[in-house]
Amino acid sequence: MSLLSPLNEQHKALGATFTDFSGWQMPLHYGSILKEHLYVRESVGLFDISHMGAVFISGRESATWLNRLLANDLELLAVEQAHYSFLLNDAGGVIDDLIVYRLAEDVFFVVPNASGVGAVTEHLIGCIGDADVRLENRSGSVVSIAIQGKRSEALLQAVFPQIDFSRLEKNDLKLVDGKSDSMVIARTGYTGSDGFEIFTDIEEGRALWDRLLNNDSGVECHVCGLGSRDTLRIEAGYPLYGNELNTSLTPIQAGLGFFVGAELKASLKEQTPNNLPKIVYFKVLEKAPPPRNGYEIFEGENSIGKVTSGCLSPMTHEGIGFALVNAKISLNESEKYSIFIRNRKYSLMFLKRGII
Amino acid sequence: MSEFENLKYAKTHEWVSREGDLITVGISDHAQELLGDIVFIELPEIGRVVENNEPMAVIESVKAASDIYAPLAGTIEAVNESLESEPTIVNSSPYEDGWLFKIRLAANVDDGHLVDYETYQKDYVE
Repeated sequence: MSLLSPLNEQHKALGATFTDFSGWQMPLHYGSILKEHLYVRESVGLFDISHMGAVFISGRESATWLNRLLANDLELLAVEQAHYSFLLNDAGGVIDDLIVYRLAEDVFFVVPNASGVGAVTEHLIGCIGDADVRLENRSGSVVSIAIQGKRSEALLQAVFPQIDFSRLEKNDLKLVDGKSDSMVIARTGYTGSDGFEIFTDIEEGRALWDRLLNNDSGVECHVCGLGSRDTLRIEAGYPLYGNELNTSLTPIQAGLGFFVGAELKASLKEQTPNNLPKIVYFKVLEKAPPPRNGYEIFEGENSIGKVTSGCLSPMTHEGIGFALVNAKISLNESEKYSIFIRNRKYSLMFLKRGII
Repeated sequence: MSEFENLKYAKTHEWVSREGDLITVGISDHAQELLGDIVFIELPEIGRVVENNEPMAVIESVKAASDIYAPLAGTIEAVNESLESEPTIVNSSPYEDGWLFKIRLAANVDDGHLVDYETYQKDYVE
């Protein structure tokens, strides 16, 4: 039996095609993954992301305690800001990647992946000991909505006139009535386009979903499913847990050292001096079928790794994706590398980041 | 009766339109809907000899790659080249502009395994 989003009835009424994602029945699309992708790049797309975790951490010692456990430097995170981080195991492998929202000096809202909620809460609870820290797992009873796309600010400004969205910078957040248990609106997202994420209770969330879809801002707003969420994040060069991240790779190997605090980064680099195997981003240089998980990557005649995620970019139609490779590679080199698809090789290039 | 109701169907969701010993092949509306947005189509080479039920083309949607089978034996006579730049034509017009290829049939082919529209709907579309 799948878990259902609190917005499940709305999705059915909107004609969603569903997929199973980490035990949740969630919309894959509402008719066309490609169109939903383009709505985000050109206007606004609305995603139900209520399958993602919702863990509240508070208490006098919560900041220092959490800073010991998460990879990014929490001292750099001001109140009413969010940042990307990781929970790591003893070997530096990623238990999950997550977003940390600092609602108050000593109140944090942590959003792990749907697949990671169990492991993250179990690990955190096991580390509380006698610290003055409270953890509340509200996963499943929070409605989480992502409003993504270049016109998302105009849309939200019409729906929430009391907030000045032009002053909300990337990664800033607002508590709608100023209390840490109220609706959270943050300028965060995982599509590579400008956008916001809103977290609220079930009743308010259902009403908000309808209000966002039927707003009178004049901004075109379309519902989008997990299919386009995946192609959007691949274009943007964002990893997906289970594909590019797992317990046997460190964030350094995943190419995400930027999100690791300085001290921890230095020690992780020392532990794995050559950082191999590692995750790299690529672009196929010829017209080719979509790169898919498991396709092999070659340097000359030698297989050096496999695709972990890929697609044809709906924006540029190029094959793009991530691969796990076991060799030192050079970026922007168009002669040496290729991907094997069905019965032939197509040349490819490794890039520093996503194409959007 | 509209055109697609006069076509023959394979259980693997290809439709077949026959004129003498030349057939035109595409996929059913049901198949294109199941696949979703089609992003890439690999068509066979003209002149290739194919057996009945041989996989000889690939249709790729955002999520998956699916083989297309020759519904009857023969030689590939033409392919729909416009699909190379615009594969979504198969989504928007599966029975007309979205045809895939034409096969000149081998001698004495038996098309008894192909079914009419009503049977296809009843037996292979849920």
